[in-house]
Amino acid sequence: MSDESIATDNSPAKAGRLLLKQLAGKQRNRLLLAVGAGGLATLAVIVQWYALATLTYSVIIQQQPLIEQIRFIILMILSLISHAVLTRVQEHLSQLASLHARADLRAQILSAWRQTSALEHTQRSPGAAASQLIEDVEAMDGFFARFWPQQSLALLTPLLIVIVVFYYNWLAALFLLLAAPLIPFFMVLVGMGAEGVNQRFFKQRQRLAGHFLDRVKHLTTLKLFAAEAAALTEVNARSQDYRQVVMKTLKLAFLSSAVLEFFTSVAIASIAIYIGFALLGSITWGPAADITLFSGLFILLLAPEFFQPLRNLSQFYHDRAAAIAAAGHIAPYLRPESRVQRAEADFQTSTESKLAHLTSLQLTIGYTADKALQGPLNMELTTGQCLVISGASGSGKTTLLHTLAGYLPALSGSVMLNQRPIGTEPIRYLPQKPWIIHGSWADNLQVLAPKATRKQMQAVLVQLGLGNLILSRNNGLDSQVNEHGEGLSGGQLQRLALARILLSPAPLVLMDEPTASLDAQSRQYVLTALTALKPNCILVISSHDADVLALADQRLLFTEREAG
Amino acid sequence: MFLHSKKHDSGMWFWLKKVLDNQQKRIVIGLLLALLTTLSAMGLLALSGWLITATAITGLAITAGSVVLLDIYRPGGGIRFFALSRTVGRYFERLHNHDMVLRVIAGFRGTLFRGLIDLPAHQLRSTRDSEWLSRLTADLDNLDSLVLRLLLPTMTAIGSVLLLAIFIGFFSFALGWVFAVIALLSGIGYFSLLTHKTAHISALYAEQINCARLVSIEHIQGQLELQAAHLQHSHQTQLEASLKQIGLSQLRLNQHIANAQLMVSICHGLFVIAVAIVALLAYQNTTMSGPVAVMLVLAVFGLAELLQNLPGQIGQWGKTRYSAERLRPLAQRQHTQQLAVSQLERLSVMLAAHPKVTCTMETAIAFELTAGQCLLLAGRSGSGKSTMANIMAGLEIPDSSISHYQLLINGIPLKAEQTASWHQQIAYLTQQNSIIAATLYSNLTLGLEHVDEQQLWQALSLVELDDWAKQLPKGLHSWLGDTGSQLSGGQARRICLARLLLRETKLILLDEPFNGIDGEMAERIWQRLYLQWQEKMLIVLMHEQPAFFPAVDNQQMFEINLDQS
Repeated sequence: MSDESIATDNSPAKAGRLLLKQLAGKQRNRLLLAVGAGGLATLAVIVQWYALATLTYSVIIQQQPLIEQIRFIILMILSLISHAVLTRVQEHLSQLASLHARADLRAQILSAWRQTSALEHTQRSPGAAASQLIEDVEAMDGFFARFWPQQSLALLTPLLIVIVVFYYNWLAALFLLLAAPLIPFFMVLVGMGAEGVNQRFFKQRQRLAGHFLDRVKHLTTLKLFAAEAAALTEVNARSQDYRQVVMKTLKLAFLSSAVLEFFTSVAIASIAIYIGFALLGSITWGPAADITLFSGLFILLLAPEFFQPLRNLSQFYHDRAAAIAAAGHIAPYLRPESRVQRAEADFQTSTESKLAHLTSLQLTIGYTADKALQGPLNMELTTGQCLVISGASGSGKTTLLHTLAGYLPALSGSVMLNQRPIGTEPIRYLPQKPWIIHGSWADNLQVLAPKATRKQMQAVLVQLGLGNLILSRNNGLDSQVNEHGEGLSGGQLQRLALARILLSPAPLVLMDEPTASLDAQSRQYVLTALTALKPNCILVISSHDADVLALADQRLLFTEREAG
Repeated sequence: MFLHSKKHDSGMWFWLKKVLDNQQKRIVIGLLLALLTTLSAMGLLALSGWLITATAITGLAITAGSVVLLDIYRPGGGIRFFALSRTVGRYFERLHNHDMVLRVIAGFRGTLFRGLIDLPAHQLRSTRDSEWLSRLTADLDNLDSLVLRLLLPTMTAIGSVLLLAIFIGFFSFALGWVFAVIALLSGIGYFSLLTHKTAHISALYAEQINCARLVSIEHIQGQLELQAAHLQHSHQTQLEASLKQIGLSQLRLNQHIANAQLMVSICHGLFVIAVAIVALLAYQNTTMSGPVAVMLVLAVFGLAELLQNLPGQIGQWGKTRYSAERLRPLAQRQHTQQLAVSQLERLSVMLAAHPKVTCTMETAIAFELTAGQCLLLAGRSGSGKSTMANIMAGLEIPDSSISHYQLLINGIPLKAEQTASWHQQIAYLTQQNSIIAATLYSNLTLGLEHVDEQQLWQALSLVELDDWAKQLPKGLHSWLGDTGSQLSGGQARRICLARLLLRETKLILLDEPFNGIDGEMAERIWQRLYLQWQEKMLIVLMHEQPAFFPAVDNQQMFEINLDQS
């Protein structure tokens, strides 16, 4: 398995780059202002070191009393403060850009979630989806807040400095410029190195973390089979292997940053020695004769500033790699495979007083076109009627419900609710395992019945036999329903889910095995509620329960089809 | 910072102590390399400043006609040396420190795993929660800041400032002293403030992330219901609010760091100016030569490179501390003496009340089993079968002997310290399949040593998996688990059953053994297994008794129904 996973497909990286470009494009103004502030900060630095060089020159060479040069000290302090403040402004602007870019991306993800079929959502790990929305987007901060502005500043700042140095000594400027064409070359080198390392690093790291998590997840099993000591040895051995592999790649990757360091050092050293010889009078050609302690010191002070932005850029390179990786994960999910057309706002049902009609014509259902599960189905249901589907597991009961809910496109034929395609009007769907959120009973009802009043909630809960359970608690409706429904039986949870439907009726209600694996008491309450619900809507239920079948006006019995 | 942290940040100190105990030598080497790099950078600039000032003065003197000698080759050599030592130092510093951090994290991972092993079973059970797990790795990742961003940079900064102060003191004792005291005091003062402020926001930020994560998971889980009702958007407003909170906290955190950067660069600039003024004044008073004055200014100037990254690194304090504290209780070893349990002859269970089992004082469950007997525990889902199985496996042990349930081995209650020994005597098939990410071979031989391959094939054939295993690309050494071959629920179940067949234990405990296995195959497998395990104590927990089970005779075959109790 190691061979397959090392071979990298660069298409997610490409999609990631495109996504980042699009996001940065929308923050262009803020980011460019940040670069502008950074450029001004460079000017402030130039002024600051100009003042220091002048001060030193006039005191040491021109032998002027320090007290007379006070204006240079003030200039230095002022430029120092403006440099710091301008850098702070740069940071503030780029942080804001990052904040907005991430908010923008999250809005895009949420919007894509709304357009993705619920069925597609159920096939994904909710934890992975949450990580994408939260951690992956957070991982992009460095790209906008640090890397993007630095990318421009790594060109702008050295350019400004080299112009100033050129004015005083073209030969020293040449030294810097000699390094300059090498710099893009090294940036590419550093970049390629960093990206390659980052990808490998990321994979290795994921694999190591995956192994660790797997062993922790199965720790009870490991303990039951007395294999925990072996697992500990394995965890330690894996960590050591990982370190050795990573260090092998880092040895190379760090070389590229050492080269940058080397150029910085060599440029400073050669400029210092050149200036030294020139001042001594040992060099007479070129601009050497014009060098004074002032220009020499000034150039020397500017040399580290010339290289600093590049060093920063190489430091921020991992921000870029991390952002590209994260964006690569996200990009495919922004374009869901099966888009569902949903009204953005809650749809006002215009058919409240009228009868609703559900019609299907020559409908075939299934997941892939070459393997229809059932069909062609023709049905016609109006408000007050109930359809019960039964059949063996795998025969397509839930598939039909998903098709009627609009989560799954029909393979052929059509389904219409009130002469409109399914999905245009809100309906109710009750899956086999009800959805319970972390919160109170009221929160749990409100989340799917936003218009229900507390009085209505209480009445419906009493109607479903949950009155005693809730009223016996101190906080009534505000008492917490435990996250995993602990302390409540499956039947009680099912009744809670049913309460939501009673509180917010819709023209079509779909239910998947509402009475399966319920205790006798719960089952009775559910059946009563179904009877109460029936006159006001179209009920489509998948069930084997004889009492549910008794409610049916129409029945469908699915038998398994041979594939092919 | 680290001194006062000992008292307050016990989590941080716990992990730091581990590093200091195990990696002392490497930390010292890492620190020396970091100091070499920083001092080389400062030396390069300082010596260059000295050189050009000295040559400028000498050059002027020569033009004026005097004969002055200046050795330019030795400082030139020094400059070249520093240029080289800075490059080499940086390279090896990065290499060495990354290696050390990987070692440190490897150690932490081991410590954490060892601590988790010692965690009582009921606490461990929550580890099936994938959220809990992913937080565990995120926290572990955060701990690498401890050395790389907190310990080494602060120590390097303090070391460099002190060495620089000594260097300055060499030329002007008073200036050196004043520099050291002001630099260290302002540094420590400001960074204490920064850690203090960011610690709170970091913890808040981490909590907000967890909260948003919970809401988004709920959002995805509720899609079937929300999408049908067109209520996705209204549920998203809650999510949007918590996402906004995350953004704002993160912005606040970064702003604190940026403010610290602002303060640091202003302080550093002021230091350069102050040293310049004092040095130039000393030059005018002829207590200091011109080249030395410029050298000192440039040495302080060279400190910028080091200080620039410090606020960002110290800003990780809060996040690191939060993670350190969360992981600490999990990594703590519980030093319990493990006791052996006697050879199982007679197993008895008494259960009068348990929050997860449907029985009361009147309908208490009590049974006793000896070798060769089989017990069927029936009950619908939710009646507490799995809890019963966990009690019998010693995963749930009552706190005191007056509890309402008890597991007795040969008439003696099982103690918590005996669980490891008890696990050696039982083979327990848990309700959920547990396939670890490893080869088929490792999965089958979990906890066993030197298993004959022949035995494995025999076990596989009893559960009708031998043909399947033969056609796998690498046979017994094919990879299973999340990243490996896809297993159907039935295949996973049968692998778990085969795993039990390889073990020589007296008690076999099966919780829903035929989950995911169709009726006919279940019958065939049962016939073979029953034959295999006839001599043992067998307890099977199922929602209903299948037709192929032997009839209850209350001699060899017993039944208890939890629904009727």
